[in-house]
Amino acid sequence: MKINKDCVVNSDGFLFNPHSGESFSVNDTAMDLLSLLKDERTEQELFEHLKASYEVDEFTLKADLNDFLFLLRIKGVVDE
Amino acid sequence: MSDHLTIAVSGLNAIDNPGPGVPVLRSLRESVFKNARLVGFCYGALEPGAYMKDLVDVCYQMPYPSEGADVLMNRLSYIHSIDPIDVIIPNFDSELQPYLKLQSRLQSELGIRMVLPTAEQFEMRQKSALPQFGEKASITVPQSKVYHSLNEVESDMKHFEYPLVVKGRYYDALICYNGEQMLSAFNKISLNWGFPIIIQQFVSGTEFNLIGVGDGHGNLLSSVSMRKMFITDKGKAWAGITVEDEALSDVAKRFVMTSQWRGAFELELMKSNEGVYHLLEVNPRIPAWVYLSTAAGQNIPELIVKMALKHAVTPLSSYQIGKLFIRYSWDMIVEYSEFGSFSVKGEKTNVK
Repeated sequence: MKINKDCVVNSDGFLFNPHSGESFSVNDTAMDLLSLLKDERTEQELFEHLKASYEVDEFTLKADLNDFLFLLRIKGVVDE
Repeated sequence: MSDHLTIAVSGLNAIDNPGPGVPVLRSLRESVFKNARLVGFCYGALEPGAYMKDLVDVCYQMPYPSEGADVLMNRLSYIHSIDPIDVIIPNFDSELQPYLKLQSRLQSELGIRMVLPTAEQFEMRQKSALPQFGEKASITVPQSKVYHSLNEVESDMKHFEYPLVVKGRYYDALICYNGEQMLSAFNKISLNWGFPIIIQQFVSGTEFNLIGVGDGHGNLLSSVSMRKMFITDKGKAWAGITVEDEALSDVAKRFVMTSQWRGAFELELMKSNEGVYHLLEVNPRIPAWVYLSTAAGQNIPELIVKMALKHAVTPLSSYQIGKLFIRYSWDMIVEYSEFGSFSVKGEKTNVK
């Protein structure tokens, strides 16, 4: 998956989807993931990156990542 | 090219359901016609646009549209005799019928030009006719039925599913969650605006508006889409952001192609949770948020004046995405003598 090329994320964590007009504030972890998604990534790659970067158990990480990616998909922020 | 041009604009009120006149004038002041003489047409001495001296050079009070085309013609002939007008941009739905009736006379007798849809186009987008139009244009329109009396609606009540929307022919729309609310809304709107009343299926989702201009031959000359970000209790956008969605532009193209629309229009749409755009209304004029389109790169009032003057126009194809408008109110301070003079004489000249 990859972030939709038209979506804009600024350095303050403000994400804007120009197709829906929706905007979101995202935290540092989300910013980290969104910057990775500028290039094509698999869910497993994102999981591995977060696991290496944060102190978190795998079960919690998997659940949180799934929730976040689900939101990105339904809001049209990422292309599969 | 604009030094000797006089352009008249109506809709200078600016209440919580503001008229489009002030943003139209503001757009003209930033257009190639910025040096034109700008005339305001008002329906009362308290319309704030009349006092905006940077935007309006002179103002005239006008007869209400309900007084008919002949009264309007007399007033326009008088104004034209002292202040020759080249172009009029009427900005209220209710004005369009008298102006449509007078369109050819105004051009042939006084040389005044307008860019209006035809009477047939005006009728085909009426709220009561919209479902049939939607079918013809392959545009999704919520189910609706037209009622001409309270008896009619009472006999249909057992078939209604709630929530639903009760709408006046020209203005007003109320969401109702039960029969009691529906009857109350029906009575309130029919008392204010008369019949027919339209009862429409409620569609939940996100509201989008699109401003566009058709060339009268099925082509779209301009189109800017906006997502409503803040909505007043009257359902009016108080803040919005420009967006770009091909599906939304396609609705505008189908609307213009099917209707052969000439002039400005506004589409009010609801994007359902399933992602389908439902066309709720078509307004046959420039909307009050037009300055957002100007700021985003498409000056629609300028385009309308060029069309009226038969200047060559090229379609405006792009605009800036992510531009916001945030509306606010502002208290102007006016001397009593200025207000009094305008009230009594029905006309006022603004000295900058």
